[in-house]
Amino acid sequence: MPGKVLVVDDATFMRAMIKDILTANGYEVVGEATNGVEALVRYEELRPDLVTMDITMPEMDGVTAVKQLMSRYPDAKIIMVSAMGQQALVVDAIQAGAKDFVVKPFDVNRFLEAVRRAMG
Amino acid sequence: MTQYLAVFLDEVGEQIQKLEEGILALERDHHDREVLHSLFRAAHTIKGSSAAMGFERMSRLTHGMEEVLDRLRKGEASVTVEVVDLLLACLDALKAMKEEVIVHGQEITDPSELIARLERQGCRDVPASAGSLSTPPGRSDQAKGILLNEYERRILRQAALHGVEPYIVTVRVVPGCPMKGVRAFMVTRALEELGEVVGSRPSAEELEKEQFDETFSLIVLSHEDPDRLRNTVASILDIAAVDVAPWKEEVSQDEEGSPTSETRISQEPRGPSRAPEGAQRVNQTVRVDVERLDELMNLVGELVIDRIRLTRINKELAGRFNHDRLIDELMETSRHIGRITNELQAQIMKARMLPIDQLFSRFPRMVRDLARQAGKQVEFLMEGRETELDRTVIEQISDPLIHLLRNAVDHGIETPEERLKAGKPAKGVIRLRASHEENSIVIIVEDDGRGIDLDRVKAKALALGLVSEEQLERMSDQEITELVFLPGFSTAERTSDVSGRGVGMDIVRNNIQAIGGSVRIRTQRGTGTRVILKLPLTLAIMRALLVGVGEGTYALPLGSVQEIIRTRPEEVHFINQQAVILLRQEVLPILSLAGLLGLDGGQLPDGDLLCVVAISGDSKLGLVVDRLIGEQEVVIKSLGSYLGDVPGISGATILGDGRVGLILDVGRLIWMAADSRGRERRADRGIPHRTASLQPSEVVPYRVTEEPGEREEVGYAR
Repeated sequence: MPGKVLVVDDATFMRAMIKDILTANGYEVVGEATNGVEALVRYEELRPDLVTMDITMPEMDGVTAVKQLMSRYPDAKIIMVSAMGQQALVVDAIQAGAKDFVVKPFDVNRFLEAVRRAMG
Repeated sequence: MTQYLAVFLDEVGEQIQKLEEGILALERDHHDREVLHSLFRAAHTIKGSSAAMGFERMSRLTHGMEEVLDRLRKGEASVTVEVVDLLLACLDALKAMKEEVIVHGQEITDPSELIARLERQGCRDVPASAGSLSTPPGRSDQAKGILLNEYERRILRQAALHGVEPYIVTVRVVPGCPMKGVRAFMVTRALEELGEVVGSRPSAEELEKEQFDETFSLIVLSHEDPDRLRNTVASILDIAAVDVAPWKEEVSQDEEGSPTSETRISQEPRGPSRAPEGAQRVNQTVRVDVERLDELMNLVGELVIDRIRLTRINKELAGRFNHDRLIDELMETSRHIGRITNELQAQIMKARMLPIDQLFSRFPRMVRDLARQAGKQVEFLMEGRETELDRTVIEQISDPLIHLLRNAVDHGIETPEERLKAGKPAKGVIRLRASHEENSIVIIVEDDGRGIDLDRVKAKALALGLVSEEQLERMSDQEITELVFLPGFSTAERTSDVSGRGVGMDIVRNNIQAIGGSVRIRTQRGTGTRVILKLPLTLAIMRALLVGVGEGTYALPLGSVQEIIRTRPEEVHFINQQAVILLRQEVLPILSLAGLLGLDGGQLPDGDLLCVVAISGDSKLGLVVDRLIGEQEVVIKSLGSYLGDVPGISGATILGDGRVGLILDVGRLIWMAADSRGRERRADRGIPHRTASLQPSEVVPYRVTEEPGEREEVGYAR
């Protein structure tokens, strides 16, 4: 199922990679954001079907962004893109309403599976 | 993955920079939370990217750094000098790894020792993700091994009274599941939406700490049917199998979890794993190969040359055929092309500009290390980091600036004791400033140290035979200071072990002059030294004064032309066979440019002399030329390797009439002039017998020994 995705990550490299993976698999990356604040703005403006959210970012971290997004848009579908060692933060994010998470370096298929399920 | 390598390296470079700045900031203020956060983020970003790229060593190292930084930012540990040093050591390793990735395609540096130190620093166990050592029982063991505690039993009894069935949900995660603790949490959470999770094996706490293999079990009270429970759990990622069975304590003791309702979740690869080429970018910036910009600049250079030619042809035509409509139109068109070319040139030049911060940002660390090794306290301040400069210029000034800063630390700033004795604060200040001034960039390196010791400069210059005592006597302080620029000069008794390479002030000056810049020194005993570099904005195109000598046309960079004067023969005086004129109370040596370039014997022409006053740093020279042609933009072309290094010529350019004009290297010409005069005087074996106040900076002969290996001394006099 095609869908519009907002990719949030402060690393250009990660954004490019996630975007390539998604695009190659029929998803449309409608926007990118480099921190939580930007993510909120972009979400408001783009209303994507899914958000991939990095956790550690300047300005506003991913977990806070999830909390704020969920309070404004309870239907928001968010997948956390976490690094190793951030268990507690991922748990926070899921408690706040994130649908799923993947851990960097992630397996492409697993990532796509998470995307598919979260959208489903 | 390789298609991301360039982006990856770029970003690692940026993050390394952030780390460097952050660590140094941390050293100044051990309690800066903001810095700790940004350091943590930088380490974290590198960790993620390097892991994704498969650079495992880099990833492990940054993971270790991140752990320590995390504790620091949470206030669980405090910043000490030791920590800062360790972080800096890690930073060096990261830099080395980055280079290794560039050169060898992989890291070579072994971070194990650093990681061990980081772990000791963190006083932490190996991170959970490195694998849990406890080996809880496998799935079947677990299912039958569930023994409830009193509390759980009571809840179950209560539930039974209300007719609610307890289930045991046994879940297996896929092998190597990342963050399985979080998966367990997600399973628990999903089931809680359908009922109540009464207990778990292993305990919730152990689940959270990932103290289980691949299997865990939950006891759930729910009205929902088993399939619903199973499907809900199965929909979670990384769950390999789910088993839901009615739970009876006594049954579960000996009966294994029934395989009847096990769901296997397939993990088939879906879609190609590699992204296609040409994926669209939303970014508003494009990374362009530097070579392409250089090529573009070259092309624009050609265009500029043609524009100049076009203008010239136009003028000639207009002179030949007055008021021809076609020529007017041609004029108009060529003017327009001129404007567009100028604009194009300006835009491309802008695209080649980089903030000087690219270069500056590595200095704080360097100054810090130098100061530490020299046992000095230095506050290093930088201004104008955003000043933009052509990247080729930035490359060229790197070594000179490093040298100047090293001098400032090694020789400029005194030890804390000396400073206190002199009534100064123990901590010295070194300032590095960049700013824009008209068509050039000015960089100032300044310290508040002891200043240059002129007596020692004199002694050294005498000892080296660079000047005679008589000459010294006539020199002003400024001129004596300038002696440090002579090749082979240095009063530093020892070079610090960090100095590394043997560049002296002469090399600094040569490097700067080679790119059309100039160096000046201002120093005051006891209060400090200031070195001022003036640099062109770009090396590709410059404004020049065109002059004619004999048949040839020569271009003098406008930055080195002070003025043009016409002198009558009777105003020329001779001192020691050197022609000089008085220019506003100053004695200015004059030389025929033709002679200097070896085109003729160097006799001054008869009649009025046309003299261009050329200036480099604080030295001046009057160059006598035959004709003045005009001021014009010239595109600098290298002479090419077959011509090699021609003394006094820095390059060539193509003139409006299509002929080649040579670009003069004014700094070098001035030295050549001084040298030839010095040689003559040595040939006289004499000390000048006149006492006329010759400007000594012009007559200082300099040693002609310039074999590369000869300059082992570093630093200039202090």
